[in-house]
Amino acid sequence: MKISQNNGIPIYKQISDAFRSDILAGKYKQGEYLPSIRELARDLRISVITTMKAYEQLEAEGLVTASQGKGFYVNAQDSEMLKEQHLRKVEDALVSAIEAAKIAGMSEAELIDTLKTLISMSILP
Amino acid sequence: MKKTAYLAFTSFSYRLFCLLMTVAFLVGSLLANVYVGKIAAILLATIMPVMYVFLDFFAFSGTSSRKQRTMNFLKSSYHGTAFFRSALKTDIILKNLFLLSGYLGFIIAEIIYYTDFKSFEESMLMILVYLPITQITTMLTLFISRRLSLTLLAQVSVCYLCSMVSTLLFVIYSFLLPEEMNSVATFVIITFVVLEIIAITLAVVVYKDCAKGYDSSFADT
Amino acid sequence: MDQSYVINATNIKKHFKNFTLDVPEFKLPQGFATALIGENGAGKTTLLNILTGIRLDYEGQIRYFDKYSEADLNNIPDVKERIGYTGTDNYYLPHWTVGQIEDISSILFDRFHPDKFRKYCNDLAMFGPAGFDKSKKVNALSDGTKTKLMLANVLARDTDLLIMDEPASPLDPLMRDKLCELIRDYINSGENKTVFFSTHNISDMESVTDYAIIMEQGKIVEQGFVEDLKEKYIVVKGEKEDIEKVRPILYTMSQSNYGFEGICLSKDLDKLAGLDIVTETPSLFKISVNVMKKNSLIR
Repeated sequence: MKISQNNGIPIYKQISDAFRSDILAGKYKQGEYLPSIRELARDLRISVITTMKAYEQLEAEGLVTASQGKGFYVNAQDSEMLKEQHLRKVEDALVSAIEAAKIAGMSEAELIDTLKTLISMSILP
Repeated sequence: MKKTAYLAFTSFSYRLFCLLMTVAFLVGSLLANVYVGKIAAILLATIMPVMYVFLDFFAFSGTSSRKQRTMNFLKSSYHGTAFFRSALKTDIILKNLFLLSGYLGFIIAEIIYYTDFKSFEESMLMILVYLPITQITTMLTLFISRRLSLTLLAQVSVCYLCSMVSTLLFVIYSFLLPEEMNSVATFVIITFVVLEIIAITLAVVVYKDCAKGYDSSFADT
Repeated sequence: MDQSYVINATNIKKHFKNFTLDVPEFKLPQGFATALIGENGAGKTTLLNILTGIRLDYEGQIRYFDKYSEADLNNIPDVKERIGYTGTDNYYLPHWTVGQIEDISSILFDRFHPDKFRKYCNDLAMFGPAGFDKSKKVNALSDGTKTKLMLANVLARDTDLLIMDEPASPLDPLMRDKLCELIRDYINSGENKTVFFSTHNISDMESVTDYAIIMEQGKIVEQGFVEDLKEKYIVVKGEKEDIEKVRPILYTMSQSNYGFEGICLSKDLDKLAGLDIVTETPSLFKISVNVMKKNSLIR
């Protein structure tokens, strides 16, 4: 995990992002524990409260569950939810594409054309 | 194996010097008595307090000072107070024993070169007065030097003051000494008892003053 | 999250001639590293000395480890045994040697490990390449080395709470980094290990600070978990022409010929809507400096 102290993204967010992709990618199995908060803080050379906040965010997203005195374990990631997560990612990317198009002065038709061209260039099922 | 508070509080070199000094006084007073004569006792009585007070600088300087806050480390421990008191107590007792052993050499010389009872008696009576006077001088000066947080030079001047105190005490004593030889023994013994009570009281005062200095460092308004 | 506290103090008061320490409530969160921040003379050392029992002339009640009172600090050996304290000056007698300090520690603390002490002394390179030197006197040590000695001393004990007065100040950058590592290792060495330290070196210590308490003129003016403080305040930068509009809304502000920069309470941010501003998350250093500025006598 690479943490940058000064890239503008809060450190807790960098951590939760990293764990989120790992969990969604299946690197952590269901029921597996994440590293303990204090151990992770020591290894990443950051404060305990920052790692704690990262884990709390993952918990709020339903990816992990806190277990009293034992840390955070990974929840079952049902395929429906995984799909939901990915769908949200697609939406986010498209929204930023639309915004960029506005700034560039592209029309709706032009934007859709571009998207179609891009789709034809890559291989979607 | 844990050391005693005294052994931990004082450095090895301090104890070594104290011990060497005591041995030197013991041997020195023995030889002085033999080669110089009884006059050596007065030398002993003036030099010993000066030396022990001087050495005290290296272990307890400023420890009873009311303004100094030097021992936060001890204060952060539950055992700190008891530890400091124990070290102080041992030191005061040892200092008095050291003073006694200085005269021991003198007494040994008297025993080895015993000639007649009158001369022996005279020497013993002399020591009976000199010993408490040395103790009093030492304790008085310690009281001052530990109260003030001194530099080494200032400590030397306190030692100088110390020798003046002992001289003064001897002068007062010589004026009080009765003329007839018969009553001298009784006078000396009474004087010894009185002076020894004063000396012991002073030792307790020095100890308590130091302990109080430590206690008062927990508050300063 | 139900947070427990290693120290719970109420109505702490201490009057000096020109200064009064007045802390109605003080809580030290368990299992975290807390920084005590404030100007010189803000009362940090006084507060630390009161909490460690080095100063006893104060008003107020203190609860340690959720079961001991301030009187227990001097009546029950266990309380001070569990608290490690490092100070600034006046800690060791100047003529003590390192060997004496080891001996004294063995007497003063039931759970002091001489082998650990020597290990820390060596790890911190206190005596250079020569290694552990027990004949070294305290007054021959530099301020930085004295601090290392205090750290080695306190870390060689089994404690649950470390209270350190300005540990970073006399240390060089490398050693400050090491200090942060030592604090993290300590926090990680067991359940509920707590560290409380005062510091002027906020940036250097930020990566180890979980909770911050900011003091000014004898009072606690701000406190909270660092991540919460970073949400509470926000840095705002903008153009010169908006200075008068933002002045009443910003918490603190400094201006130059090119514009302004200040800190704003996040809840007030929408009052700045429509202005040409940029915002960023503040560092603990920035939060501290601005909170101190707001409450300081320095103009």
